Amino acid sequence: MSEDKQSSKPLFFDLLCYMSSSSKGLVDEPKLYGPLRLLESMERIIDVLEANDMSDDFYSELKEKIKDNKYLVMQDEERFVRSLDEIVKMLAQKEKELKD
Amino acid sequence: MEEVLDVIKERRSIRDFKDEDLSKEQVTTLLEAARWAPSGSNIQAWRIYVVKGGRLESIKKFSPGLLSDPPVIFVICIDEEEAEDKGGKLSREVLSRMDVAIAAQNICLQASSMGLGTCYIGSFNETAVKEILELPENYKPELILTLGKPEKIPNPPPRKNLEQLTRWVGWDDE
Repeated sequence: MSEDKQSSKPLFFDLLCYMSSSSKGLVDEPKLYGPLRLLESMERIIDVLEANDMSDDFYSELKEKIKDNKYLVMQDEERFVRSLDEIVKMLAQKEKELKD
Repeated sequence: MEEVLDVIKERRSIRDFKDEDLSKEQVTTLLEAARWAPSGSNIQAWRIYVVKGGRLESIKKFSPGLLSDPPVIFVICIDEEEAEDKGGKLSREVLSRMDVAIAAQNICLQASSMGLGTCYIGSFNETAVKEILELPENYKPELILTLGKPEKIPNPPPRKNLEQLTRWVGWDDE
């Protein structure tokens, strides 16, 4: 196995622990914690990309956007939901850019 | 000495901690605050695991609600056997949980008065925590409290006003 793949193993393992615990927890947790856990998973996937030098400015910006907005779920639900759309919009714009 | 209401209003849920350890004396003071909490029938069925280092890292992996990097966590458990033996089903299922919450709030307020930060964590996997801490079968992990020196102190989230939360009964001006 290459060194890059080896270095991702703990991050992937942590992600699997996080996602499995989230799946169990979400059975009884508030509905909006679902989007929160998915955002956190996205952030952790970007961590894996960064650890393997596969990240770029777009992913860094996306990660910052997630970090800046995820806790709104506890403070301002409306803004939190709006930020979910903004994150999707960032990805849709990137998709257009890749296609063009 | 700060007024109690000032300490209550200054307490925040801290999700960003400094990379600094807490002393055993500081932690012991917080445990002492919990020890003086009231409990149903004075059963005191809570048990507090003071966790740092590798076990904390392991618990963090299975705690979706624990997104910060605190130097120490308290895993507050209920000895369900003791709760049931001394207080019956009501104590095991209801009162012992209230007691944990009261003890935890004592800790949070004491911590706040010492310039320390805390956050209640309810999203964790009970099975994993029991396994990692090798808890006895009759211990139920009920709550995790993160502890540390705050890096950032957030603004308070909105509070409902007193009229929404209160009903005055039997007062002359009602």
